[in-house]
Amino acid sequence: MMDILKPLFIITPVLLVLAIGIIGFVFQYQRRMLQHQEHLRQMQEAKQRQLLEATIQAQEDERRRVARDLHDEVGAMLALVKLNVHQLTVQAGANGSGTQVKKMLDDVMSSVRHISHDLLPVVLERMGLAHALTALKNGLPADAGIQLNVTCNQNDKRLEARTELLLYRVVQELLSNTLKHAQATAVTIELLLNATDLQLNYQDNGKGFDHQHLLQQPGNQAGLGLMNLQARLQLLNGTINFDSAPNSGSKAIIYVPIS
Amino acid sequence: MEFFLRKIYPWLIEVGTLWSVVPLIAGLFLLRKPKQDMRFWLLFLLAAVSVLSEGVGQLVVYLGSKNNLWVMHTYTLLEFLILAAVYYYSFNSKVFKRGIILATVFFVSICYMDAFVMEGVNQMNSAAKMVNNALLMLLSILYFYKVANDQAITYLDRDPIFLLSCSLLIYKAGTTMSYALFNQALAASYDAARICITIILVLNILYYTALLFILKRATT
Repeated sequence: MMDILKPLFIITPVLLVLAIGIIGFVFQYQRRMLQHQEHLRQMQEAKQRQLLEATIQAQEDERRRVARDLHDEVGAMLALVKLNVHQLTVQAGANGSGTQVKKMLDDVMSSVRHISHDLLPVVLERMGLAHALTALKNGLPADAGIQLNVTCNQNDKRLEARTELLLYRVVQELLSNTLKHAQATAVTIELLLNATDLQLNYQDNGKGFDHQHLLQQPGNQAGLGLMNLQARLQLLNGTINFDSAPNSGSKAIIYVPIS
Repeated sequence: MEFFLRKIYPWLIEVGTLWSVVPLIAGLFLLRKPKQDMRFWLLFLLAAVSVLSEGVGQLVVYLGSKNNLWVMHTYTLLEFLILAAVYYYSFNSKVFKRGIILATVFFVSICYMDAFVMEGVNQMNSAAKMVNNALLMLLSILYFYKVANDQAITYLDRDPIFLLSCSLLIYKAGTTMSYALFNQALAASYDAARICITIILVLNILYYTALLFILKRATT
């Protein structure tokens, strides 16, 4: 009996081992392929991050240069023009039209200073994020009809310069969106700083928006703006969550690790 | 060996026969789930055909016939047709799909030859079984090739057809020699044939258990 079954006892285990070996090999091969893919994805992500960081850095450098040129050159030239106009009006005795020209020059100078401060937030560099956010009130157009409330649990705490600048730009973008689209009358910014992270709550009482719908629309400028915010926060390993619906205001909650 | 053949073998026969009902019952429960694709229905059909074949085999013996091996001829053919259809729906490549159709035509002719020209319906269909096993192992390996190169599949154990291929590969690799030697073993002694059947029964139990999990995976 055993002679007949000898091939069975030899070949069956061999075939079973081969089958199990093939299955093990497929598992191993697939796992290795996925690891390789993951490695490639991480490399690509790091590259994109570097590119984004370089782009934002270049943007900030350019803003700094334009702000300095506006302040130092255009501002100085306008001051000189104003002085000359003053002398001319005194000499000509044309007080009425001279005063009008001087007022127009004052407006231009104020506008240039405003643009320059927007581009290079001096308060941010010197006094920190909390003060810079409070100073945003001054930059709001008088006819906007928006009341801006800023609160912070640690006004004088300083963060890394890069973190402060990126967060400031994010708030600027959010505020700009509120001014352009929300038709809001009040904006509240709350900055909560802890030892390890910060939470920034931005809320307006405007007409709100459908966040998911906005992101799904291809080529939508507003959607691009939101993605830009997310990209900036990704550089800080932070997150932004929107809580908004049509006609119920909008709220953005930002978390950033700072330790 | 004597103890095994007299005491354990009859018990194993009962368990092995009844175990085919397990995937069918599981399949009936899984029918309540909302998502069932074509592959689920084919696998459910396979479970049903397995139960039917075991049932008919038992019934034939109960009715007094001493030979129910013709049921095996029918089951082998139906099993291959269903599994070929499962793979046909699982592959995207037209070459593989055409290959499956050609393999099916080839296998049907082999079954016909084996049943009516070579071994006969009253003998174990060893030749058809070996071709069936070889073709199904080939299909399993082809599916492995597909999933190994498919970057969309992250978790292999969630793919029902991958699980089916694994179980088929083990089942067929383990039973091929038993089927191949069955007729010779039966001619030599009943005990030798029973050892062949023992190997088949043990692997049957494992295969039907695997089919239960495969059906579960095919619904989600």
